[in-house]
Amino acid sequence: MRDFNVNREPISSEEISTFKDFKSILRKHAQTTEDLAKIKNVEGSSNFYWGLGGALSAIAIISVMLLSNTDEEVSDQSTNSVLIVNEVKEVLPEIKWETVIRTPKVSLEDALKLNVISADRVDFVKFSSKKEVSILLPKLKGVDVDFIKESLVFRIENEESIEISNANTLYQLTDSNEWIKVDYTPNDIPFIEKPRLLKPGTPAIQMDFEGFSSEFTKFEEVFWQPVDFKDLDEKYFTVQWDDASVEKSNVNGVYKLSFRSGEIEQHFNGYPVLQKVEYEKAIKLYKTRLMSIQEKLMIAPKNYIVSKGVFTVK
Amino acid sequence: MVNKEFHKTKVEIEKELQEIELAKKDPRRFGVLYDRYHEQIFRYLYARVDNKHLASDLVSQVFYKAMLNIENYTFKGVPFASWLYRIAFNEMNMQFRKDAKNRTINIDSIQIESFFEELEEDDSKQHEQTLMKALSELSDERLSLIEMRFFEKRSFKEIAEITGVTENNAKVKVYRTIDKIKKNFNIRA
Repeated sequence: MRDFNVNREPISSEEISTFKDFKSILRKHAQTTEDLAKIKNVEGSSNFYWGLGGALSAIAIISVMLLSNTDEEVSDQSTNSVLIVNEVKEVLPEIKWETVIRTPKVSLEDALKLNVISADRVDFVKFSSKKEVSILLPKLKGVDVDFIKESLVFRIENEESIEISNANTLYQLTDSNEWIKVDYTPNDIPFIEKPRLLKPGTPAIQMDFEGFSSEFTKFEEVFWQPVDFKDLDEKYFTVQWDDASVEKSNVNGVYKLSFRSGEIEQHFNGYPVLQKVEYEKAIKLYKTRLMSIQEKLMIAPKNYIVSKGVFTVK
Repeated sequence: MVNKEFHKTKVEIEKELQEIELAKKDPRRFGVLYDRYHEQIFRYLYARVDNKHLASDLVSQVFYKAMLNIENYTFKGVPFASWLYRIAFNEMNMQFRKDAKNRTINIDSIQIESFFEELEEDDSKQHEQTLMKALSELSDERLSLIEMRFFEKRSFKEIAEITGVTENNAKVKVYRTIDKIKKNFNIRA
């Protein structure tokens, strides 16, 4: 038996929006893709490890065979080595935050290996082992220690902007002592007007506008069609218009066309259309430009706005 | 009634395809699509699970799977919205396989009235009870078809895209289900 809700009060858009959490989906996605990449790496190197494992097993078997023939000698040696170990005191590596201050001669960007950072003073540390990480950041565990065991880590005190190369990613240490990717500010995508084909049999107005320039004015025989054909009534083709003008509307790629004749004035929102030959030239140009923008976006530096915290770049 | 969210202009579809291409290259760009479709996918799922938190979890799962699989999405006539609904439809079915007791049917008086017109039956209280009984006895698949067609006023094309069948097949299934519901009235009358 199923439950029925008859005439239930609908949930408001405001309430639904409180359930929005794109960041957590993004984090989950990032985690999954990283895990998949790790699995692929493990699969790729598994043959190597099988080989290495085999070789090590062989060495181990030979060692056991040799040791079993020299029992007395080995037990003496092991006793000695225990004594030696007890005598050696563990020396902890010295590791501490260093401060770098921006001066005309000192570049924070060079010190931290970033493209740009707005701060004038940053604390940083270059770890070279897991031990060092555990001493300076004792709350970090497991993979989060491994993650920075040979990395430069820096901490900032205020809100700052950071720019790094596209190939790298900025990570922040969370309150729960995990490294997570920081969201960067998406780069603006410039709008490129996509050419439209004048379909045979559809009404269009051909006009050249002096002083008006759009991406398509360089093509021959530019026609104009309304966004909604209902806007194009008979008057446009029967009235002798004295004056006409075109201006960009607030929607990208849509223009406001105005026609005047005495006291009559009409407008419609429309866009330029091209005949087949000119359209093919324009669409080729459009695709090249789109490709070039996408290529630029792929290598564009990443910009971040971050507040107080500990960071590393990978 | 036309589902405005489903019907898009060519310009809107082209713009969305550009956004999808960018989201394939950079998952952060998926945010635009998430913002656009979050509410409608939430409503779709909430109408069926009747629990805001469960609906929210399922919505997250839908968008997470969409992000993982967006590389495979290419526009071959199936709009992006329908692709998301199809993921939501599958997630919902998986949820009901795990926990059937949460399946809810949301319906209002106007929908009941127009559904009786479709069934060519009068909407008396007794008939209302028969209808509820008949709906609750339908398989999950058939119930989903009735909900989408008559309570959410979706086109057969859209239903076909969401459920992954042909438009013709969707029509046949819907009208066979109507016949099945009608039989309930004949037996119980």
